[in-house]
Amino acid sequence: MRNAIWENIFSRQGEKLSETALAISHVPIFKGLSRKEIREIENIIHRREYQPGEAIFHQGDPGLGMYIIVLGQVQIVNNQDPDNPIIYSELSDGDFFGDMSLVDEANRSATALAISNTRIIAFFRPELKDILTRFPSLGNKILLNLAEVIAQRLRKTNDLLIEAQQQTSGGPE
Amino acid sequence: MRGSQIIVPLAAAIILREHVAPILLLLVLALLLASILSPLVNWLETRFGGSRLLAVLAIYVTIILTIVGAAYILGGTLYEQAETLVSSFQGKNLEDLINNLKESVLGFIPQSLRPRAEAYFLSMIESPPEFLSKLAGGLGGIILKLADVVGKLVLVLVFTFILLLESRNFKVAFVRAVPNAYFEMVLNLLEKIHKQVSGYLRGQGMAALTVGVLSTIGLFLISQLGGIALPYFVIIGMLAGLANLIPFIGPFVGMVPAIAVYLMTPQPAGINAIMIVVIIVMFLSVQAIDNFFVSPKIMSASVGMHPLVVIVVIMIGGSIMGPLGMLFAVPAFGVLKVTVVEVVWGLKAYRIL
Repeated sequence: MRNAIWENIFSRQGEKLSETALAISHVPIFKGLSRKEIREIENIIHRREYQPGEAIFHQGDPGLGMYIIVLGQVQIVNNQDPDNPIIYSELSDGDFFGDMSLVDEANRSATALAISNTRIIAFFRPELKDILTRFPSLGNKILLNLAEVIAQRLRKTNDLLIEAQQQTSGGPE
Repeated sequence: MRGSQIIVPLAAAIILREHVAPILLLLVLALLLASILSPLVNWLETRFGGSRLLAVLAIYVTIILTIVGAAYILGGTLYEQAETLVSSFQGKNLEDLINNLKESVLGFIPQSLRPRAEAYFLSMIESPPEFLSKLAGGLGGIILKLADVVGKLVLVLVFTFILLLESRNFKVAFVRAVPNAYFEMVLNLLEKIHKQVSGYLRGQGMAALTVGVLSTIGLFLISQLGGIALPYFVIIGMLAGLANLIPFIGPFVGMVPAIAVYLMTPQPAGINAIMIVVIIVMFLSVQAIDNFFVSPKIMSASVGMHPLVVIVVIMIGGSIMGPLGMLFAVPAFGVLKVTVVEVVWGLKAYRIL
């Protein structure tokens, strides 16, 4: 006869991460989280499904948080000029976007469009605040990871700026 | 289909609205109560090692102990005061009350006007003003309906318990039913409305509690130190606290009955105009403490209302639910106002409006 108690105890050992948990664990801002902590995140995130051509968010909308692609493809587009949209990037399984909105409510700088049947996870600022109140150590890990991601981006931007300045100062001569 | 998860229950609720409305009202009350308590539950949850159940239970035990404690300390006095007050208004002592009031007031009236005033008091005894008999009926009704109210209160507390315990699951499930196009906007609005409404209600509750407790203590001190008979001081204090929910008019709701009771009760040392001034100063001081020290610190949402709006809202509240409706009309309108402000912001920010 199967014993539910023992099964429950042992099942944790060899438990495989769910598709959602796996997607979460590969995102830099959730780096270094334990299984228990990932499960906490799993409990509060939102799961959504989009059809090809459906917008996930629009340029100019107030930003609320980040999205992680579990399965599918998403295009990040600047469509300020609707006749000449500029495609910034095409993202697929495991990629994430909109993470800067976890920090402030600045408007979205581009539109995110699903270009195939897409399953995504949404992790928003209210949920991050909730985690920070309830599980400060988990919240701090996420914040530090987020700061690291932003610092890397800032460094990259600085490098690009220096490169551009060098090109302009050396250009006309 | 995702939309059907919202449309089907909504259609059922509209068809069965007569049966659904009373339960829905209790559910809304529970939702508001849960919204007030949720920050405390979140804070306690961390202290209890992440157990939300323990956090909610701790709050419930504290609430029950506070109610039992308050009933133990104030209950006897409150019951006696309520009983005497109700029986006074039910006609038994009405004549005595008016006679007392007449004797107190006549001293302040110029000699030339006294016969006319006496005639007016006589007519009051012969046909007690309509509001007094209405009030008597209302108070009697409140006592009779106590069991019904307690039953509903228990139901609200049960709903609140479940909402507090399962708030995250409910939120995720609710948001899942929202179509993709409005998903981020709805979540953003839910968050902002929750923050504003709970802040507003907590502020109102704290201000009412402060005014209620301070007014009761103030009236007790006046009666003890001033050596005057001031019965019903607990009821008047609580009324002053509740009336604080109504701006502009609230402060007088506590002051007027306190002075009336002082004038209507036979005073061993006779009526002293200075004591009336002391009562007025006490209520004004309580208002000053609330306005300068308490409210500015706790009112997160600015819910400024024009006096005309307040009067219209109170009248509408009164016509819907009687005296209780008048009392809760302003806070209910306040909740509606912060909600509408946030919804309009959302519709504009997401370019739907």
